[in-house]
Amino acid sequence: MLSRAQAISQTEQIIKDALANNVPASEILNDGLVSAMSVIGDKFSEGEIYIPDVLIAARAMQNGLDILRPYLASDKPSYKGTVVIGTVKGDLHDIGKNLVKYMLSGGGFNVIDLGNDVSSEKFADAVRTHNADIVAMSALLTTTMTSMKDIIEGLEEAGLREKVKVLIGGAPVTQDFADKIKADGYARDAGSAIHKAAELLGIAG
Amino acid sequence: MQFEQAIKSKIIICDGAMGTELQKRGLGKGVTPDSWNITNPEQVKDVHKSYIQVGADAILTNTFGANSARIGKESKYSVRELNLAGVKIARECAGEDVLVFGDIGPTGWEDQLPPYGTLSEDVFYEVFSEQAKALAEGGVDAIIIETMSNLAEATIALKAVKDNTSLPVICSMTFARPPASRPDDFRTSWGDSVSDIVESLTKGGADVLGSNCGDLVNEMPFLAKTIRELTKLPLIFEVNAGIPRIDDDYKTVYSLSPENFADIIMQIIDQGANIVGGCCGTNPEHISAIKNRLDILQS
Repeated sequence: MLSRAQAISQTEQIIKDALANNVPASEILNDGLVSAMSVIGDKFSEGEIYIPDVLIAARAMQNGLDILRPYLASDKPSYKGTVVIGTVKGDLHDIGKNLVKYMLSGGGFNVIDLGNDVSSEKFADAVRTHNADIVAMSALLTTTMTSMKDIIEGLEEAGLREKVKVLIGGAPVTQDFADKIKADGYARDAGSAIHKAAELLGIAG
Repeated sequence: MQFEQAIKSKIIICDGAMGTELQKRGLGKGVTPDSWNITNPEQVKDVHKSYIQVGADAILTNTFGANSARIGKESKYSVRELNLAGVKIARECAGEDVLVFGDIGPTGWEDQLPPYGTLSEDVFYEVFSEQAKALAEGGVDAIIIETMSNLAEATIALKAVKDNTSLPVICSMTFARPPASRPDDFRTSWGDSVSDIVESLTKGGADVLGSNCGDLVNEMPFLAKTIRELTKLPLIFEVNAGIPRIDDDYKTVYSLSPENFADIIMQIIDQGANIVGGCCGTNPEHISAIKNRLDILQS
């Protein structure tokens, strides 16, 4: 297992070598970083790797993106879609939500993080402001997961429900619950969130 | 009764959930349960008493999140105040016959120690030392470090308690469901294995080891067996009341009835557990069911 520092420096070196060999930056991003993050997600889903490994990969990815960004400036980053993400009202837990955020942004989505304890109004405002394609909500507690229903209703009242897909997850959340509150999708962990988000937008993930 | 004496002489029955029981008594979303030690002490006492009434031998103070990492800078009350109030309430309910375990939960920090993160051991050590001192000052019989998913953090918490108090320490880790291909490879969500956990916490001076909460319910007896094979220390298991789901009125219901819960607890005792109790979703009925089984067993 690589340490955080090793993972960051090795990723950096590989990117620099590729750039030196005239590999296009967009190719390094998509075939290197984005697809690597997808592998990380699958291994996490399968129980082959654990939370700290995902956190390290996310840092290495972030650092890699920072190096690539100047080279990408000419060709605009083409995101798979825009996701507004948050832990729902009443819930202050954000590790799970952050794992999904890292996965989705690593997987090629434009992710807007609203933090934790996010109200229905705040989700609706963010959907408007960022013209979002997906609302992703997380809850760790059985007592706060019911806020997801309020937030979906809030989107309906704001006339935004038809514009976005709603993806939910978190320890106590199930497919059954997703069906009950009429969410569009449920992801049981951060790894499957990449695939689910892509599926909701009808693209390959 | 002294902790050392109790653990040698019988199976200790711990209490069940606190947070969900406080919610039944009006604790709202976004309000931390620990703050009720100061604002609604009677309701906290009511929960403690409900567990003692059905036969709990030990109760946990309502201080799971009463550390500086969790209460945040805007908390109206200090860590010391929240913990002292929590111990006072528990002690008043427990009297001489029931044990009081001072409850310490995780920091909840995403950033961790190297090699994964950037935080130093000192930062964690300070958080846990502050809480341990207050719990000891209040007068608990033992400290329980629980719902830990990260062995490095649990090990520092153990050291902080050992350095700052002379109390017995119970360490309880939370495990994720193992992948189908490796059903006996129990690990925390941070990837710590059972053998690493037993080794590190034993070296750190833990008096009791075990597990609570997490994805495991039916698998808990097998986990108990796995841990028992690696250590002679007393073991603790506090189990969730099954998997939660939402009913048609959007109320949370847990799948395990008190009797089915007691079935699992009895299997855990068969594997050599010394302290048993309930975690998320359990209520006095679940604890009562354990008590009835043990009474029958011992009569």
